[in-house]
Formats: sequence, structure tokens, C-alpha cells
Amino acid sequence: MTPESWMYLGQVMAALREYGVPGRRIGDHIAELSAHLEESGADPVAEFGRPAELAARLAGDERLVPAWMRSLAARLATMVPVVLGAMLLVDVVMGDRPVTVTVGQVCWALLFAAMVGTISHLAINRLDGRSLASAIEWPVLVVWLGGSALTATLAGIDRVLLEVPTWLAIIGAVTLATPTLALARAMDSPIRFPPGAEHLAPLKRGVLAGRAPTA
Amino acid sequence: MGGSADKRSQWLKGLLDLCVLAILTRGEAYGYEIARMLDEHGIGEIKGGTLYPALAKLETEGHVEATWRTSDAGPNRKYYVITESGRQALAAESAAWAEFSTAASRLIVDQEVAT
Repeated sequence: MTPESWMYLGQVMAALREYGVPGRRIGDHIAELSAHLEESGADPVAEFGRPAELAARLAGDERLVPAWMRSLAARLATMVPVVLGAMLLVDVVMGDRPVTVTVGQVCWALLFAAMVGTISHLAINRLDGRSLASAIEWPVLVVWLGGSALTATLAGIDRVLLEVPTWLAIIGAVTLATPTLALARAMDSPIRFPPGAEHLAPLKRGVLAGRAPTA
Repeated sequence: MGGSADKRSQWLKGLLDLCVLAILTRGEAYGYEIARMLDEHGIGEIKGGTLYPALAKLETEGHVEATWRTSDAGPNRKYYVITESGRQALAAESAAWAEFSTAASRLIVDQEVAT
């Protein structure tokens, strides 16, 4: 296979992973595409189209991550409850009584969401062949960060927004964090290639970058 | 030529599943082989980017089953075979297609008769 084909298959693999397709299915798709390229000698993009688009079509109904969640705004928004949930849990474990939610905690959640959400968003959008600058979605990020800073300035970092009983904080933390943890677990099924396609295993090492193996 | 290919591609939307199932009634086949057989039957060149998602959908729906086989002549291949559910879907939809294509042909091809 050519370095371009290796690169292409790595990008399709990363995009399928991003859609939450189970690992065994990913291995199956990649082995099949690889066999097709080997037999036809075709150029991967001319034969299959752009990697992210092919992955979307292959994922079909198997997508665990719906298309709307792939936008930056959605990524940021889904991160916030998880971070807040984690903070509440830390408060409960550390024994702070009563458990409080402060403006500072909300701002931390917003900033952490901005960091993790943007990095994961970029990792995927680079696959579409766009430049980094156009993939970041600056207006969303600026409004997000500006809103966080403004909230912190106007309300004051230490201002308590909520005071909740411990039992409610535990329920809240679990409720906020569980869906994302379940999703992460679902996406964490290892990629398995079918028998005879073990030579594709190096792709797993460069799964996000879609690098061609050096050896 | 490109325009003709585009038109075929448009017509094929919604019909590819049926064509693939029809090919598989002639025996099991793997992806690249199915593409070649579709071409030989005059359907035109089907790119892998169109074919494999269609095969994945058919597999998910249970209309085809797949197994990996070793090959002496090249890479291992994923062979597809039509299931009973696939045969039933083909039978049901081919009748509907025959009715539709006859009506469309009457309207489009036989227009000179009417004018």
C-alpha cells in the first residue's frame, strides 16, 4: 500500500472512532477498504471520497455520537455538566459542608470545556483537510471565553450560586457525569482487525494523526 | 461522459441496495468483485465510497451476511451472501421497481407516440 493509502485509512479509522463505531466494526471496515485499494490500485480519495465523509456514511445508524455533537459549540456545552459534576463529587469527597457551587467553579468548568472541547474538535476537523484557522470556529470560542470572563468579573469568583445538601450533590454529580462516561466507555472498545489483516495493526498507533507507518 | 455518469449516479440512488442484492442472488461475492459485476451488467462504475456504505447498511439490516476468507491471489476478502430476509426484500421491492420503471418508461421513452 502507498503512504497515501496508509494515511487515508488512518484518517478513516480516527473518524469512525470519533463517531463511536464499535472497535470490531472499525477493524472490519478498514481491512475491507485496504483489500479494495490493494486489489484495484486506486487512489483512495478518488475511490472513496474524503475520509470524514466516508466514515460518516459507513457509520450510518451505528453512530453513537450524533452529527450535531460534532460542532464546537456542542462539544463545549456537553463538557460543562461533566466538569461541574466532577467538581461536585470532589466537594463531597473532600467533606466540604454544605456543598456549594460558586461562580468560580462554573467559570472553571467553562474554561476546561473550552480547552478539551477545542482540542478534540481540532483533532477531528483537521481530518477534513481544512486549515487549523478555519477549523477552530473562532466566533464560538471568543463568545465562550468572553462570556466566562465577563461572568467571573461581574459576579465575583467566590460568589455562591447554589448551596446543596450532600445527598443531592451526589445525585447531581452522578447524573451530570454518567452519560458522558457511558459514551466514553462505549467508544473505548478496542479496534480488532479480522484474521489476515494483522499487517494493519500499525495504524492503531497513529490513529489520530493518520500517519503512515515508518517501518 | 461525466454528465452521463452523474445522471446514472442520481438514478442509482435508492436502487443500489436492490442491484447489490440481485448480484448476490448469483452467488457470494466480495466488495471489489460486486463493483466489477455491476459494471459488467451495465449499471456503470460504482465507486467504493458508494458501495461499501451500502453493503454495511445491508449487513446491519440483516439482508446480507459476511465472512472473511483467505486468498492466495491477494489480500483476504470479505465475502457477502444474501440472506432469506434479503431475498424477501428483493422480491418485494423488485415488483415495485418493475411497476415504477414501466410507468416511467411509458412516460419518458414513449412520449413521441403521444405527440
